[in-house]
Amino acid sequence: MASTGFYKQGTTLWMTGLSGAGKTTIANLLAEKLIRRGEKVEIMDGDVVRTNLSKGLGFSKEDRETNLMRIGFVCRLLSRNGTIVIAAAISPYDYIRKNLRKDDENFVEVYVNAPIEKCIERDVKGLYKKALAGEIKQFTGIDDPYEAPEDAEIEVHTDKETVEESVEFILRRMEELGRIEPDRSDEGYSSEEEAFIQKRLEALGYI
Amino acid sequence: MPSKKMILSKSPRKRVIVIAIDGVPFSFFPALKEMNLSPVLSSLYKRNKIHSMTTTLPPVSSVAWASFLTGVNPGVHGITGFVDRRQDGYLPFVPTAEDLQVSTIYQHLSRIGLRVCSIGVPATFPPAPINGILVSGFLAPNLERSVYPKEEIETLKSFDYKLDIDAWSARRSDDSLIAQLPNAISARINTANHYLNKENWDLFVFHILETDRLHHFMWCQMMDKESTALDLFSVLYGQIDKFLQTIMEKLSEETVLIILSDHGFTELKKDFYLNRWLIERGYLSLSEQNATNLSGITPGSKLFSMAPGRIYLHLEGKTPNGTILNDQNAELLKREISESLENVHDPETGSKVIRQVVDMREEWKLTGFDDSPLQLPDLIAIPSPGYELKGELSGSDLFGIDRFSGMHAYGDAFVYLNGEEKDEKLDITDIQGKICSFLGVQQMNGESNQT
Ligand SMILES: Nc1ncnc2c1ncn2[C@@H]1O[C@H](COP(=O)(O)OP(=O)(O)OP(=O)(O)O)[C@@H](O)[C@H]1O
Ligand SMILES: [Mg+2]
Ligand SMILES: [Zn+2]
Repeated sequence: MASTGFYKQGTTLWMTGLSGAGKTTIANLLAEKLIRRGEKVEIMDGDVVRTNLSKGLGFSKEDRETNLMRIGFVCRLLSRNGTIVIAAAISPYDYIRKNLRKDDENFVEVYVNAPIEKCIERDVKGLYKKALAGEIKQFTGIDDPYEAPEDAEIEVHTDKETVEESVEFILRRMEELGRIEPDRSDEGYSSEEEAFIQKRLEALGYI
Repeated sequence: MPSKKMILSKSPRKRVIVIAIDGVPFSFFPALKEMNLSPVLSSLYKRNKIHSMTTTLPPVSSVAWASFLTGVNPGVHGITGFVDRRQDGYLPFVPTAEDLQVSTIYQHLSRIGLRVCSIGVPATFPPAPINGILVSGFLAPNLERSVYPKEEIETLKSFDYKLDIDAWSARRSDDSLIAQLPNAISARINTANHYLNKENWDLFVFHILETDRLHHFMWCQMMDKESTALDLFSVLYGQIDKFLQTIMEKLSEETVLIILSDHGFTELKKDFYLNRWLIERGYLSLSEQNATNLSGITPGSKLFSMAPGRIYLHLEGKTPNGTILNDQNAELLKREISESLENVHDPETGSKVIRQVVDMREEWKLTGFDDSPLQLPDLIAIPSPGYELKGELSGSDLFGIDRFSGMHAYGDAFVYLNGEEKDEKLDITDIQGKICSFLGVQQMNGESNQT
């Protein structure tokens, strides 16, 4: 399709998943690839946001909700102006994600799925160890619930895929969902193919 | 052009199956009943559930299905024939889905997360990624290049799916046609049944091509009780009937069925070579005597044509060497040529060859007529039934007879809208809106007010 503004709208790509599931890792590589494809990209990473926009907020249900609503607000502003914003926050509660979706017509949910055992084994930040020892309270997956999404447009299984595979799959799904322009520069007819098609049309008396 | 936006509304959503049967005229239904070709279709017709529908000008499959997919007329989506012309040359090219100037319903639905499965619909090559499965229509060069995602090729092969019959071979002998068509349609239907059952879809569109091919080759033989054509009609329509029957039996409250065609069919008597007529009348001249294409058009030429019946002013700016200015003289030229064409008669029978010449600027109500990257036809000649308007250049005869006995009729398409009564005039561009409302999808119409 010759461009008609269809791809001009941005996207809120909301990644949800347990700590250590791979949200930040995927967000970084995905952003790199999207930028290489000419897209405008921002990352809203939970850890980073908590050092500025949401500085001082804790991990109570209320504080988590405030944090997520702030991230969602910024995502909405950016995505409606043509940016692809990748949000990377555990976002464990289903109702909050549903609310975010309701307010943002460019919301696309990515379930970064890894079993809790795998995340504990990875323990990238050493937090699971502390949570299991009772040194951190209200840790998602240990003593706070994680409600897995049922209606995520995209799901990756990071215990079975490499980072590269997960990112490629997300890109492919974004193409399918009309969120990025497909990368298909060589898909029209070759000149031989076109000549062949014209012959076929001739046989049918069409040209 | 600003693109339209779609959003999911809260109203209850249904799933939609569209069965697209190429080239079946509304006016064929009485005969279809008489010949007992499809009890299912006949019974819908008897109950007034099948409606007549107007279609695109010209009534050509790739043009009409592009209008079905986009909900806009050809002047807006940009594809006006099986071949079109870019402004920087005179040689025709085969337009693809990438030449569409507006996004399709598949893209819009994918964007709001609905699943689409489309099999065989023209104007969908090359197969763009959608949220589902797309098998391009017969203009794909081969099976490998026809499908998204590529993983589905194996499934198509396992059903022996054919993009089209071998028309060259069918031209040579009826036996070849008779051998090809039943296999092609059953492979197609088996493929559709597979995806209907296996895939998770919100919109399922299935295009049946074989009826169009049958009608081209055998439209008149159908009337002949002795002809083998009758068997072929029975076999093809019988398969369609069986397929429709299983679908209707399985239909639930949550699933909507739409059946439609893209144009009518009528007896083909003669081809009329419009470019040769333009040459004879001095509107068109070529630097070489036996030219087979327009590359040698002289700058002084005023008009040229492409099948079926599309007429172009040789405009400065829209063509490499054209000298016609788009001013009042151009309007006079259009009027002059329309009048002369409407006065062309078949010397053998005395009957009128061209029923009407339509000014496409008015017909398509375009504000962006001159912005199109392809040159849009300024006029389209609508032939009287029986005359096909062709674009051939070399040769001197104005009339000729082809292998075919059927030709596309203008208008005369049909539609079945889930048993809805007809309460308005229906055009093929209206169907997209109907599908959306069944799906519970609201169309937000940006700033664009073009139809
Ligand atoms: N397919 C994959 N996708 C993402 N990460 C993967 C994948 N396979 C292995 N990993 C590894 O898993 C770890 C994921 O850690 P990461 O910091 O990205 O998680 P996170 O979801 O951002 O966690 P947190 O919520 O604590 O910020 C990394 O060490 C990464 O290399
Ligand atoms: Mg992280
Ligand atoms: Zn046809």
